[in-house]
Amino acid sequence: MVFSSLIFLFAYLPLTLLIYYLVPRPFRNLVLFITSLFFYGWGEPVYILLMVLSITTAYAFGFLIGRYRESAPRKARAAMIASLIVNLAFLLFFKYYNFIAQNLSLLPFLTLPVLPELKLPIGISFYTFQIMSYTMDLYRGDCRLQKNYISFGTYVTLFPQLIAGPIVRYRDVDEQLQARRETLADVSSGIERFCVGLAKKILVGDMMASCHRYFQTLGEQSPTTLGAWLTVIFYTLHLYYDFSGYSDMAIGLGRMFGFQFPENFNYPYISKSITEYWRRWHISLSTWFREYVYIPLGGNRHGKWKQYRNLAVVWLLTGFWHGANWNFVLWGVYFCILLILEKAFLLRWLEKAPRFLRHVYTMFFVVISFLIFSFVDADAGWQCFAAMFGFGTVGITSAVVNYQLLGWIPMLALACIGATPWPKRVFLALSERWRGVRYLVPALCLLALLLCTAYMVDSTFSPFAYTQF
Amino acid sequence: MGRKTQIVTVALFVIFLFGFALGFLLLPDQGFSQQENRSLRTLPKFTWEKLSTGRYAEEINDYFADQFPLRDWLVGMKGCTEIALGKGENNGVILGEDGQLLTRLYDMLVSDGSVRSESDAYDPATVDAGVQGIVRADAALEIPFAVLLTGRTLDVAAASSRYPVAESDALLAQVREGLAAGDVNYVETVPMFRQKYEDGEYVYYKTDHHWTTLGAYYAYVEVMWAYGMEEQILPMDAFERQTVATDFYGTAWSAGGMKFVSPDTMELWLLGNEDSFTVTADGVALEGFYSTSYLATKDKFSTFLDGTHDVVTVERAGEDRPTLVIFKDSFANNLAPFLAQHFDLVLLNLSSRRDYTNVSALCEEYEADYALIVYTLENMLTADRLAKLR
Repeated sequence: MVFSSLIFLFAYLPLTLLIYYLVPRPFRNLVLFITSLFFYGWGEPVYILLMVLSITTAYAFGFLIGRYRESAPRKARAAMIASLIVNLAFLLFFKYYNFIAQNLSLLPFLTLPVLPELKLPIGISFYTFQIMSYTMDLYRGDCRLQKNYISFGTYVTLFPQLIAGPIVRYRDVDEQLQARRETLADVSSGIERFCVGLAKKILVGDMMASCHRYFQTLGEQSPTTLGAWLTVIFYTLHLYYDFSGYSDMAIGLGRMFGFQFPENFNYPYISKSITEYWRRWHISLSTWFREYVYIPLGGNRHGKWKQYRNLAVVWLLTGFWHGANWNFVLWGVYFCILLILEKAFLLRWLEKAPRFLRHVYTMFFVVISFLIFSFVDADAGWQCFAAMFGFGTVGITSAVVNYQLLGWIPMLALACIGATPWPKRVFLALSERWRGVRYLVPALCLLALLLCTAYMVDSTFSPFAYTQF
Repeated sequence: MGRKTQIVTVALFVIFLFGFALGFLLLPDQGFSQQENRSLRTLPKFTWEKLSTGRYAEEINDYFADQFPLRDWLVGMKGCTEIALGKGENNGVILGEDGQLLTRLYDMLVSDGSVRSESDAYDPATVDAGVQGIVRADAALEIPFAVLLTGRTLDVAAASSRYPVAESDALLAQVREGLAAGDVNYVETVPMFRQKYEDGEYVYYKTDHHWTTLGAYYAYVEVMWAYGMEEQILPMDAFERQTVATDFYGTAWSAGGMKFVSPDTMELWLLGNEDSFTVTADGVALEGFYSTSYLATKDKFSTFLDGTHDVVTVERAGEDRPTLVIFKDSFANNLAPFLAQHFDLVLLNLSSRRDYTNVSALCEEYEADYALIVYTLENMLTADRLAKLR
């Protein structure tokens, strides 16, 4: 199920909220566990089994880790590694098997069968990382052993963040799983956040996506320089609104049930360097890799070269995590190089450069990164890249490109402004000045819901872009 | 934020969610959507097999969306929002001057067989394959053969929007040159219709993609010229023009969701001898050229020749007239009554699931004296039927 569907908003969510708040407190995790499994299995019931298997493995190994971590660290370590291997094996097989098989089969002496019916289980990359965080937190003594299967299952399956994050580290919600208080303030701010996210996803993200698709198709037939730039710019906006909108909805829904999830986005497109960009984009994923890969490898504590090596490992994995395709690996390498260059000298230079130039520098490389990210087909990606710099085009622009752009300028401007903190700042300033402004909040929420419903009914179907990863 | 505002926020959210949920539960299911001109999904049957494959979930999703309360109203609201955002169009339908709707985006067929949805580009190779199909059919026929590729509203009513006309012109030029090179008797109507449209004549509907009865008459004149039968053309004033609907909302209106545009007017042009024709559709006799029961529905264009059928025949008893076989899509439906004054007709639906692309064999089968293609440019860009002609 996805949040931007009528069935979620008008059947699943009201029913889940109703049951959740009707049952006595001790049973609320159970309600969430069952409804979350239902949420997950709605489209692909078979993969519930896989997820339950993953959960059970980590839960069972947890007892071994918990028992030995004081008395016999070696045994605890072995149990941790075993648990990680089992979970990674699921991920590796279901997400990467075909990719690996295809590429290994390029070797002359090796042929591995490709399994076309193997479908990627939704959200497997997200929930596997959550499960692994529990195993590692437990081994390090950062959290207590979770003896309650229902509570642990709730942590992994919790539907708000199940299929596209934020990736919640176990120790961040350990307390909340045992005891949490749902307050009116939480629920109402959760609703606001959810409405903001829904509007970002449906009213902006999906629109940007349709315009991106339009320019991409047009570019295949008659490539133009402006058209190529617009293709990637609309994609850049689409992914931000789609993904950050999803995270907003997840955080908002979490609050409705008394959970506090970590933030996932912090206006990434106002960054002044790539280093800063990655502190603002998909924060929970970068945090995960820093916490569980980069720092264990030694981080920056063993000199420059080891730090670069560690960065390379992290970014190869980050790239590969996003999808079983070479373009994602290339995308990871691309950011790795940029980040190493910034650490080596670029950041020092940038600090002296005018602010404006730093923004242009950052957004240029971000936009190019999305070009790599969006084209699974390397030839088509290369053609678009060439067109951006005037190669292989039929002209700088065309009458149709101009027509399309002209109609989209208001929406494009709104989307650009909406990606900065300005709308929020203006709203806060206004509400400090006039108390009445805050009464607008419920009205705006209602308007957003109504418009989103209209758009959902109109399209009837709008899958999330980010759940494929 | 104050506690009161919080309570209001929560209350509105709950009312909104539960309101629609209850509305869905309590309101009876609708069977047919006039607006969308299709049957709506009803409650799907449950089977374990469908559940395990996820098919059941899909069907429930569709059912929920189709039977959603205020569905039509919400679709209209989305259309208005898009216009308010300055896009000048919704769902690929342009809002032109004077309430003229122009469908702009369609599913483009790429020559490798793949499809690009919501595009206004076209693959020149797809167009060329269509042209070559026509040329092939032409070479295989020994009877007079004419080809009328009807313009899209986008081609004809170009003046009503700021959409660039260059794309249309390039497409038309490619078709014209390709057919000329193959020595095909091509009835080019788009420049004529464009001119008449700009002169203020009501040749294409505003809310539908078809030509009006007046437009069909002009097309009839062109076809007669193409067969060298211009002396037999019936003058416009020979017909009694009868307005049968003033509230016709067509396909572009359904897709565009712009509920505020005004409806079209529909005319029948009668000569008085309509009763002397025998019309059959897929072997069943019709009441005549016009199935007037459709006038009471939204799908008013189906009044002409009873809408979509595979094979439609028109004869006049006791007369030995030449037979004209038309390979066609729906544009031929309001053109046929004019041509029926001169020919016995066999209309074969090129867009049908059944294959009517073997032009030479079919002409032989129906003992054709004349053959004609009436097919939309849009279908040429989105389907491969013309490419299969032989």
